[in-house]
Amino acid sequence: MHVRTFSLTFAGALLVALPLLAHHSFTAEFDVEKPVTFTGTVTGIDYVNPHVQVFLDVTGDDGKIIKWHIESGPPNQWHRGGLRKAMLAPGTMLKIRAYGAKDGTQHFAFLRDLTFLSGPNEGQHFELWIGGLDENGRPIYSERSQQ
Amino acid sequence: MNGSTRRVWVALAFAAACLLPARLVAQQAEKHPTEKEDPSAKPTPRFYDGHPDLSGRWGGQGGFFAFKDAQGTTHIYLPGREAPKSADPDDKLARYYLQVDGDKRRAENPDKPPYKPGLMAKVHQLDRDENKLDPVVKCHPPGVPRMGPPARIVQSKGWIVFIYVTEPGNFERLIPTDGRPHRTDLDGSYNGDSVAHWEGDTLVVDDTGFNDDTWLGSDGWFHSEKMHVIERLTRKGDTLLYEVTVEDPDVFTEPWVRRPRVLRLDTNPLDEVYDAPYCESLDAGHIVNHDHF
Repeated sequence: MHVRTFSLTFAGALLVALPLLAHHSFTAEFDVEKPVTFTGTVTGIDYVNPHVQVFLDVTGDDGKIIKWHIESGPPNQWHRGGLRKAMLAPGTMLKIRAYGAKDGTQHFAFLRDLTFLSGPNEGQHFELWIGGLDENGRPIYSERSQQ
Repeated sequence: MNGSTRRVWVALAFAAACLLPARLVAQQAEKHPTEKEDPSAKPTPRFYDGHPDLSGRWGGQGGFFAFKDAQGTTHIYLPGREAPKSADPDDKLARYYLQVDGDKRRAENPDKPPYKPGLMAKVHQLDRDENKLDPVVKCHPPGVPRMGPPARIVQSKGWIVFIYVTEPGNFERLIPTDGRPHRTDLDGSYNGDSVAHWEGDTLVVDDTGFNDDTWLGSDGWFHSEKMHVIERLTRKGDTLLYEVTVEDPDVFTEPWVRRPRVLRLDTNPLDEVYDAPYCESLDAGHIVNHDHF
């Protein structure tokens, strides 16, 4: 908690120099009422702004492979939390929690959190938040309106 | 409550009262480990020519932060985004996705450009379609002044370099400080043509020669090619005051004097500028409504 407290103080004390720009709203594409959880094997990653894209093979109940496409936040969000492109090498097994697409596209969702089930990072768990509340119930967000 | 019990409670209350200030101080010291030092009170470094040395990494990381909890889970926060309350009437997104009332934010924003009344309909229309029309959503350069203050400044003899890190990419501006006039041989561009001079300890950057392909913010804030931007940068110790005025006689009723911003020198290696991944909008086809960034 000490780390978190310090980070909050630090973030609050510094006005933002790096504008967050190229995103659409979560609610423009994804539906919090469509949560999905599955285990899959990484087949590829597009580590691009403004949204990292992860591709996975998921074995369905009938044994057939389903191709999943997971969208995430910007690379800078991954960078800040120590999540790196190289950690998602092809073949890495992940447990994924995500929210499905509003437009009905199958097997396309926005990443909520992931757990490494294999490889050198096995057991590591990352939760990726958008905004959110701090421990005192205050909203956490940048002065994005300036941009 | 008998007498002895009361004495115990009084003793406990007294002990608690004695302990409280010390505990508060301890919390404050832990919560604000850097607050006791005023970064602006530190000596201001000087360049060889006597002007302040603006070189450094300025500001934070755009509101991103991360921490690892006691269970070992790493939480990584993206700054909050905006969505209409109607998208989440029951606050089901709370704690995952911060909702900001866009209409309220717009109404209360003290830092809006002073558009001519006849142009507000265009601003509103662009704003409504922002998630499809905003140039940066398409990974186009944000340009000056939307990029805000530079992430890093490199000062040199006769020149100063501003470096920016944005999601559409890293950008730089090479700005002469030797008193030369603006160039007249250039087409309009995203960052314009910049020249700078010193007024006391303040560096004044004058920017002209823009194209009209950029916005000034995500609320449909367009501008014309006649835009003229004046930036003023003043270093005090380990802080940088950034002031900007935007003039555009074609679209504004008066110059837009933005709220000043104060940035702190940032020496955290994790915040240092790095070569950003390229920008490619891969999911625009999945947008189903007008929810704003």
